[in-house]
Amino acid sequence: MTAGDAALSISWRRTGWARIILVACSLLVIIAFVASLAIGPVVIAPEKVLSILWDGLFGLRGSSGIELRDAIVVLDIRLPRTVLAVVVGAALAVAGAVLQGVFRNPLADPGLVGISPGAALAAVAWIVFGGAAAAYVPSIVTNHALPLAAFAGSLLAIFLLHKLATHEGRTSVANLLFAGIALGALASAGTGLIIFIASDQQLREFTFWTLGSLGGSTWQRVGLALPFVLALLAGSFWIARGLDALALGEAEAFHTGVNVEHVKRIAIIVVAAGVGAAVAVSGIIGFVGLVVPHLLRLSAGPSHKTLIAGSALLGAALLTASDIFARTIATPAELPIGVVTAFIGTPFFIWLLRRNRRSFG
Amino acid sequence: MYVAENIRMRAGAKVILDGVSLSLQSGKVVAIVGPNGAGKSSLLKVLAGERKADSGTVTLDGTPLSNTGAAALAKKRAVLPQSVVVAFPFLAAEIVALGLPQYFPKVEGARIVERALRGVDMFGAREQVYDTLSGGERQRVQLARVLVQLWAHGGRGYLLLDEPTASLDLPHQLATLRIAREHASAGGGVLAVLHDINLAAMSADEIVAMRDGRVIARGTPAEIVTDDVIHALYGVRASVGTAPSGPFLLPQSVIF
Repeated sequence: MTAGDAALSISWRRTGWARIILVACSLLVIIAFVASLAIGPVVIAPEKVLSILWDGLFGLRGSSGIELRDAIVVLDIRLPRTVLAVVVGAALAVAGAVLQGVFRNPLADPGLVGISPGAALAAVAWIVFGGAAAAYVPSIVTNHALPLAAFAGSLLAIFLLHKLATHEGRTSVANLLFAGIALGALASAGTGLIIFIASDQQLREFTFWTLGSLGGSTWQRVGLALPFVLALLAGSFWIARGLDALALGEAEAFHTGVNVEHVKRIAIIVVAAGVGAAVAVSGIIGFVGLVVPHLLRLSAGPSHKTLIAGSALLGAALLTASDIFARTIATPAELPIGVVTAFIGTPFFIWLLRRNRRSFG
Repeated sequence: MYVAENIRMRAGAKVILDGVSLSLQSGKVVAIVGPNGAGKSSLLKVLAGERKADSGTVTLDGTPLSNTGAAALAKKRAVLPQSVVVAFPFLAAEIVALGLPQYFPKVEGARIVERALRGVDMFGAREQVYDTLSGGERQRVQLARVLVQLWAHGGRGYLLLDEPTASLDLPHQLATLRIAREHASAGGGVLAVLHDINLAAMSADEIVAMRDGRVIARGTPAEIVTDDVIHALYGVRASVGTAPSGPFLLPQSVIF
């Protein structure tokens, strides 16, 4: 073996494996996407779904009555909801991955550490009190007021979390979870209070904000969330290498040439944007940001470029699949999707906590 | 040249560094010795740009450190901390590759990483998860990472090593000091905090003796490893002998 061959053969065991995982995640997204369009009160064959999608691209909607009905079901009812599940799932998983990188701790989940509850509080506050304020802000703001309010709420929550949980660049798992639980409890109490004050009718919406739902998805909601989620993705890839270096510690990352404050600032802003948008359109959906990045670290390795790409894909697939389950298990009623993700996520969280009990100090 | 002038730093009421000056030239290995709490590690952090001194200046090749960004600094100096806890299950080779700049030719990068791993005798463990390695093995992986950082920028630059031999067995202690010497011979500069006087005497061109945040003596090993300096430094009487390699300290004769 020549020196050059030896150099190329070095370690990169993971690069090949990581590629396979990314391809597998992409396939899962496609399967979940088509399944979500096919499954429901009216079951439509997958090949039919694909042809409806293809025709829909050109504005065609079939000729017979049944074809027209199926086209409406797929394109108008299920498609916006499925796209929203993809967008929200990707946002939550990537937000989790980035948050864990910044706190150097695999237990940071936007829902668990109080960021989603903070966003929900701000969103609910806007819905109830925003009407009075709307007269004083420009229309460009009011059009996006709900995700912007949620963004502000999650930004404040992350900022407080960072202040409370981090001491001299180190975040202990106990501090992180205690601070997160306190913030989450406070925000949830605030949300409950505002909804209590508001009106009896809005009381029913309470479950939407605490347990999450993709019900009533519209293209308008997709449009509200998408710019924020794209910002999260772009920002995350931008700082991926910095997050890798941060795994060594803040001082060590600085030694290798990383502007640590810059990386942290971008991470906090884009996570707040992504979580805020996700909460604004779907309420609090927990554990996606915990489970997905962890599965990817186990399979494809902890390198953040792969982790972020894989989290976006697997998060989208997981939330889409969870939503299929949530809306079909108890038809005609709908289970809050946060209940589904919590049932998947909680045992996982406990397992993670036990497995790492010693090393998390 | 690395030059620190009149560095002062306090933490609360406690004076950590009390007017320390130091210079480090290319081609030289300088060892800092002294008792616990002498301010050795703090001085290293100030030189690394990680902590700001309350007063005094540090310049690197004529440019004040305070005017240099993280990325520019990383091209000129690399820092080996006492121990590094890695947050996620990175492989040894992945840790070493973190020493490379973000956009670096892949093949060239792999070659540098391999050379560094072989240099610290960790090539065989390159695919092991860093967390599963022993303390000494981790330290060697970190040394490889630090070397890669300088090699990626031409191989000169300054190595700042904080107790690089602390958790190593004897052969790897010697190997680490040999790597430091090779780096100096190749045109770089090395500053190492060392606890072992004998290793310092063996490997350094100059020894800086620190106590209570001050430099109390500096000079060649023969000038520093003497009964008087050792007593002034540690407050103990020790027996200094001479071997063909230079002066040495006999631990058995240290009386508390």
